[in-house]
Amino acid sequence: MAQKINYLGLSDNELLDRIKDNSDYLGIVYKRCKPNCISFMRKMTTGKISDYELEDVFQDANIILYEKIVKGDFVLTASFQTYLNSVCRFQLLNTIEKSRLTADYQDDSENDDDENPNGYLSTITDSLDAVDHSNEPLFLAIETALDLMKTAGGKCYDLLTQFWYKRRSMKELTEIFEYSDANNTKHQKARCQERLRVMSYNELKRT
Amino acid sequence: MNTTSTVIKGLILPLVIKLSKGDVTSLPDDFWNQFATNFIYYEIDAAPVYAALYQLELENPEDVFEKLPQVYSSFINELAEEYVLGNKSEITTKLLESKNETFLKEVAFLNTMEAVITKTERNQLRKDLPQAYDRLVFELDEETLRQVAKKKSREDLRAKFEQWDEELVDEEVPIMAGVKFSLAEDKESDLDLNEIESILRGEEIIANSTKAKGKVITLSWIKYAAAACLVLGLGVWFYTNQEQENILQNDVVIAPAKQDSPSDSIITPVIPSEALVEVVTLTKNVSIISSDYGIASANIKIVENNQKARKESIEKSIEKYRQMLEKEFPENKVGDSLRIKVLESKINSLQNELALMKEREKQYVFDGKALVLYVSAVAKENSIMFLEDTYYLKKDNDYFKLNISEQPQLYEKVSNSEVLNALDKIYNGY
Repeated sequence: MAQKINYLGLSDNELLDRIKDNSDYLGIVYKRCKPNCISFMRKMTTGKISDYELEDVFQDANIILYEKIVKGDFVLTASFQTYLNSVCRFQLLNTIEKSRLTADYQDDSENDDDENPNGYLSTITDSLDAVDHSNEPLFLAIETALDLMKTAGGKCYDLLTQFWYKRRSMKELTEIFEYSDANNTKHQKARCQERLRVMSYNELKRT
Repeated sequence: MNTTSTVIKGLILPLVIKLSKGDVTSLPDDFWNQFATNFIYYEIDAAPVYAALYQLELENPEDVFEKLPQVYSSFINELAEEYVLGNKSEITTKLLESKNETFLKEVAFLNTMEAVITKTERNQLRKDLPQAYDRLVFELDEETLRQVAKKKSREDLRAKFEQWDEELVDEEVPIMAGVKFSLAEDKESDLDLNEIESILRGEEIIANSTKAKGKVITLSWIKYAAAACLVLGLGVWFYTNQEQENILQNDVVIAPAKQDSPSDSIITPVIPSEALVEVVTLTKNVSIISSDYGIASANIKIVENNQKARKESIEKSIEKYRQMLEKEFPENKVGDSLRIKVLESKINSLQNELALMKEREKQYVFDGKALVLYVSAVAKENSIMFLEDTYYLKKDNDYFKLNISEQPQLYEKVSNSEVLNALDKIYNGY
C-alpha cells in the first residue's frame, strides 16, 4: 500500500520542488500562510482596508510566488510566510492607495526580528506585472480565440498554456502530452500557435 | 554555440545533409554563427547566404535556395519566440535595431499572446487556490470506488435493456409469451391431441414468421434463444407425451377450450424508457477549522450529491412523455387507453421523484462525522467550522448551523452578527 503523504508536514524546500510540477501544492502554502499574512496586513492597515481586498492582495502574492517558482527565479532565502508577508506589504504600500493606510503607520521593515530576518521585508519588491490590455484589439482577438480553443477541447490550449505560462521545457511537454519526442512536441506546439494566430486574425477581421 | 546558431543549424542542416558531398554535420560553430549573422539580412542581401551554401559543395544548391524564404520566416519566428521568452542575443538586438518588420510583428503577436495566456491562467489560479489544498488531499476510499463501479455496471445493464426494448419495438412481432400462456391454460383443461397439435403448429408458424421477419439483434442473444428453445421444446415434448396417455384414457367428451381473442389478452404496452442521468456524488474529507488558528486534526467527510443533471434529465423525460401523450391521444386506437395510463403513470412517478429531489435540497444530514448534502449547484467551497461546541458549514460566503442528527435537518442560516464575526475571524485566522 502506498504511503500516505503528510501534506501539512512538508517543508518549504520540499514544497518548492513540488509546486513547479503541480500547482495544487501551492494550496498548502496558501492554507498555511493565510492566517498570519492576513493578520499581518490587518495590523498594517488597522481595518482601513476590507478583508475582501486583503484576501485579493494575499492571492496576488501567491500568484507572484508561483510565477517566480515556475520561471525558476525563486530562491528560498526566508520562509514562504516571510516572503508572502513581504510581498503583501509591498503591494499595500504601492498598489493600494497610500492615503488609505493609517496615517500613523510605522514602517519598521528595517528592524530585524524573527519575522523579518535581516530586514527581509524591505528587500522584497516583487509585484504582478500588468497583463490586461483589454483595450487593444489584438489582445481582445487573441483572448476570444484562446477561449474558443479552450472550449473546443483538444491539446492545443493546454500545450500553449503549459509552455507560455508554466514555462515547461519541450522535454517536459513531451512527457506530459505523451508525444514521441521533443521535435514532435515542438512541431505540435508550432501548429497550435499557428492555429491560434489564424483564429485571432479571423477574429480581428470579424470585429 | 549560441541559441541563434542552434536555431539556424536546426533549420538548414536537414535541407543540406542529403545534397552535400562532404560531412556537413561536423561544420564548426563559427560557420553557423556567421551563417546566422548573414541570414538575418537575407531579405536585403542574399549573396553571403548563397556563398556560404556554395561552400558546402551541394549537388543541387538551387533546391535549397528555393526553400530559403520559408526557412527565413521560420528563423525569424523562432528568434522572436526566444526574445519573448527572455533569451535576448546579439542577433535579436540587431533585428530590433534594423526594425525588421517580420521580427517586430512576430514579437508583438507573441507578447500579446503571452499576456492573454498569463491573464487567463492567473484568473484560473485565483479561482483554484482556495480549493487547491482540498483537491490535493482528496482521496477516494475503497467503499466509494466499489459503489461507483457497481453503479456504473447497473447503468450499463439498464442501457442494454433499453436497447433491447427498442429493438423489440422496432420489430413489432407478436411475443412468443402468448403461446406460453395458451399452453399453460390448456394444460389444466385437458386438451385433445388435435388441439395441442394445432397449438404447436401455431407456435411453429409464429416462430417461422419471427425468423422470417426477424433480424439478428446481438450475438449474445443466440445462446439464450437456443437454450430457451431447447427447454421449451423439451417441455412441450414431455407435456405432449404425458397428455397423450391421459387423453387415451379419458372417455369424457371435452368441450373445446375457449380461445382468447388477441384483443382480450392483457399485454402491457411497450413504451421506451428515457435514460436518466444518475446523481453525481463527490466525497471529500475536510479538516475542521476551529478557533485554534489552524486546522484541527479531525476530519469531516462531506458527501455532496449533485442532482442537477438528474433533475434536468427527469424534466426532459417528463416533457417527452407529455409530447408522446399529446401526439398519441387523438389517434385513440384500440388498446391506447392502457398506453395512456402507462404514460401517465411514468410522468407521475418522475414528477414525484423531482419533488423529492427538490425537497432534499432544503435539508442536510450530519452525524458529527459525515455531512450529506443534496445540491443543484456545487459550492465553490465547503468548509466545516467549529465554534463554542457547535459545528457550522461555510458554503461559499454563507454560514449554516449544523445540528447533529441521523434525520435530515433543514438549513439554518446564521444571521447573528456576533456569531458571523466570530466565524469570519476563525475562517480568516485572525
